[in-house]
Amino acid sequence: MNKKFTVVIVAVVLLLVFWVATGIEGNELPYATIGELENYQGKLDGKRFRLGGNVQEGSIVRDKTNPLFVGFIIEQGDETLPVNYHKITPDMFKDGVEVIVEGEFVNGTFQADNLMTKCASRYEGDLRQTQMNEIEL
Amino acid sequence: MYAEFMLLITFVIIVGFIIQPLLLKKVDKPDYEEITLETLKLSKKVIYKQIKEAEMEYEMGNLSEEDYIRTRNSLKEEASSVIKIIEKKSVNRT
Amino acid sequence: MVVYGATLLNIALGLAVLTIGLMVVYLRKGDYRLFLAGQRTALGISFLVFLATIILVYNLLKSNFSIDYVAKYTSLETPFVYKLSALWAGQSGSLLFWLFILSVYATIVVLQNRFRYHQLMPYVISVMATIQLFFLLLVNIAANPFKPVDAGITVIDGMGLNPLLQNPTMAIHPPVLYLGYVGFSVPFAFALAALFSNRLDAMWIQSIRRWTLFTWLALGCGIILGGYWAYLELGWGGYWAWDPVENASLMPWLTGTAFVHSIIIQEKKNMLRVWNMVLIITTFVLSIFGTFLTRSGIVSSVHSFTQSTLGPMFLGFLLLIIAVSVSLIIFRLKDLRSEKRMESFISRESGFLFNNVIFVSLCFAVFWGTLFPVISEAVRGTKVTVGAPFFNQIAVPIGIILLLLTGIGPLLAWRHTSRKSLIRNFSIPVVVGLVTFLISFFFGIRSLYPLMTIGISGFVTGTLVMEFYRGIRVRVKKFDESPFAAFIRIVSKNRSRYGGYIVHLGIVLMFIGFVGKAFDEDNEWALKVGDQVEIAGYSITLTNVEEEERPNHFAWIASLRIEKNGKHYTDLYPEKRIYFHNNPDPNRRQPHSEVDIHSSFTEDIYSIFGRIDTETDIISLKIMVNRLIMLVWIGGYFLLIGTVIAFWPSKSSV
Repeated sequence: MNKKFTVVIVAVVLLLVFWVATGIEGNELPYATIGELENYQGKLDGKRFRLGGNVQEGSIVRDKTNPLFVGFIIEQGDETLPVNYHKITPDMFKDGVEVIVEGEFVNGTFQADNLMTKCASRYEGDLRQTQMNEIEL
Repeated sequence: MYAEFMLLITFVIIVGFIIQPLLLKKVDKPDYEEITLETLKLSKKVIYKQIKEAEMEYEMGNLSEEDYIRTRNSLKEEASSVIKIIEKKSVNRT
Repeated sequence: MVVYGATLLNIALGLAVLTIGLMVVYLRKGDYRLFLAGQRTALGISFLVFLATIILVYNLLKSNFSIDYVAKYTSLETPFVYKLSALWAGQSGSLLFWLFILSVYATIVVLQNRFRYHQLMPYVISVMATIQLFFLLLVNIAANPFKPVDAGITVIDGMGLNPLLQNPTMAIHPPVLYLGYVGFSVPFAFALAALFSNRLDAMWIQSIRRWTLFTWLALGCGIILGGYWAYLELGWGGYWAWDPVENASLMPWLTGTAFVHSIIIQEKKNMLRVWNMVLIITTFVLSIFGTFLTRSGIVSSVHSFTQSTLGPMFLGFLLLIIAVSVSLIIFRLKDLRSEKRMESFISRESGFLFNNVIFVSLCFAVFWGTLFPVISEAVRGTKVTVGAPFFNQIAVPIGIILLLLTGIGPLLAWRHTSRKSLIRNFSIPVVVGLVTFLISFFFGIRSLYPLMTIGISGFVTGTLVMEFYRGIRVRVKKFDESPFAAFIRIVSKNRSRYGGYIVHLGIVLMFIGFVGKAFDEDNEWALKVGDQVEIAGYSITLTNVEEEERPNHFAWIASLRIEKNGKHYTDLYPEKRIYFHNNPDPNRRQPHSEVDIHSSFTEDIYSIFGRIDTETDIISLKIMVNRLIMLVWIGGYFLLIGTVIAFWPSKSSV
């Protein structure tokens, strides 16, 4: 009986492991770099990407009559890319912050439908590292 | 100064507390045989509890009579073998 | 004063080494006085840790900004409660806090077992002291909470606590979570003690049963509170995001749940002895790993891992635990193997076993998904995150199978279940399940997983209600009691069994709450005062936007009038806040959306104030209608009540 049990359990485990391993395949959306986008030779429309970078200082543009619209530029080293976004932005979103955007190209501009700001950890209070009121002696 | 004093006091108390048993004359170790016996009594108790549970399951209607009798018999067998060991150990001790 | 905090931790480190030394010598020489002294050094470590923690808390409350930690996590404006909770807000403080809880547990274990388990205790104390030693090394070397601010700087006011952390739930959920994380070190210590001393009989399992339940409960409550905090404070309308930090707490809970079930088999049938060892060791390793994951930042990037000595130290400790435990198990394998064999697939034992296999597999899936970015970065050089869709795809079906087992398990007899018993036990619950399935289908639910979950929930509820009913019926017949008295009696006479059933009912409620997610609605608008919008049968009017200056932030408060069927239903006041609004550098001001929620059994209306354009006074607003979410929290209460019943000491408890 124990042998039979072992066989069944091993089979169940293998099945689950296989399932987990293949589950990654369909769900991974690889990070692309802005530089890689040039390989598409302008045939970007309708393709989905996940991009990371920092918000360029002073690049955030908001529409005065529609606070839901925001345009900004992300930079990654020397490469930059303008991004449009049509939802409420996270509280941490501001100049210089590291962001991850997901979305697709529509008529050559990147329309993000997901905007995430990076913060180290939920528990860490290290979001404002240099805010101490200090005086040099 | 106050803090240093407190720290020193704390330190002395802890050291005293730790060293105290070492200053005692020889202390007897607890009896291990007693402990083994206790574990056996424990497993006896667990088996009796299972017999009671099986009885309840039967009364509830969760177990068919056939299942109940088989379960009860095998549990009783287990119990009697444990009791035999306990008796043997107790005899050895006295 | 500050220096002494660090000194106390230094001495504690020495005592930890001394404790282990004394126990090792005692085990070789057998002089019982050494054991007594070792017991006292063990108490000494904990006592010093308590003192050090008190000193840090005192300095936090007194705002002594000459300590780096105090300056980084509090400011003069920080309210009293959050000055206290700053103890676990940052890295070094939370490590000291971990150590503090561990020391509380160690003290209880030593005192409680002064006259019990004499063969296990020397090892238990040594293992606990080793874990304390590791955390003492961390706070002494890698992350000293008493580190003074850099030389040449005087801090007038500290940075203050992140506003996200200034929430009552946030203040209490890490301690509860830590009670769980840290608590697994006790069963782990007893397991290793059993292996070291070769006392592999029922004794060690017996000694940890209630600890394990308590710890498991604390971890579960911590996870639920964490979800509740995310829901209230993070402003995205959900409670679970498969964030690495969340996963880190879920993993030991999953293996811990498997362990809570499989110790029942060892207690009753003396089977699965190797497996239980593996499970508790895995659970403890995952608890340490969880602390490591939240504290080292390894998931956000591999590179941050090497920046402090913390990461390598954690990794070294983990490897040490694994190496020692695995070799011990292999060494004792012969003695661990039980003579007993599984008798049939259709038995309670086999139900438990499959429950275990599936819990562990789910844990593995979560582990794989959480670490995938790290693995892919290390192997392929590019970072690939898998995100919530992956976890949902895997976890939802596995969760449904587990739910199904919850209903099947109690219907199976130990050893073997005859066909007759099967038919008698399964017919009613299966019918209940089918009926709920058909009703929900009839009401227009067409997607597979929600339908299955609801149907299986019906089946499980059928099982549980039948169990209660049959138990009550026996007592009513036999002792002529009133049904209510009979109910109280069966629960108090079979605490672990009926306590467990209550927990299972809670799990069913939570699953139905999870299903509600599939029927959520949300929308975002740009609105002016007076504008009206519609969602899910509610009409929402922005009636006013007010400004208010408060002690530590500035707030815009939107007034929303919610109507249902043309009648006034409720009002909501979501806020947009700016913390540190007086800071001359606009980049250092921190905006925060404070959500407002109207809850009912069937749905929550969740409102988020996105932003306001100060020139045009147009605001962006997001409304979410979250279905059945309250069942998740109510299920949490069932979990709490059921577990407390199960571990409440009873006179007749074995």
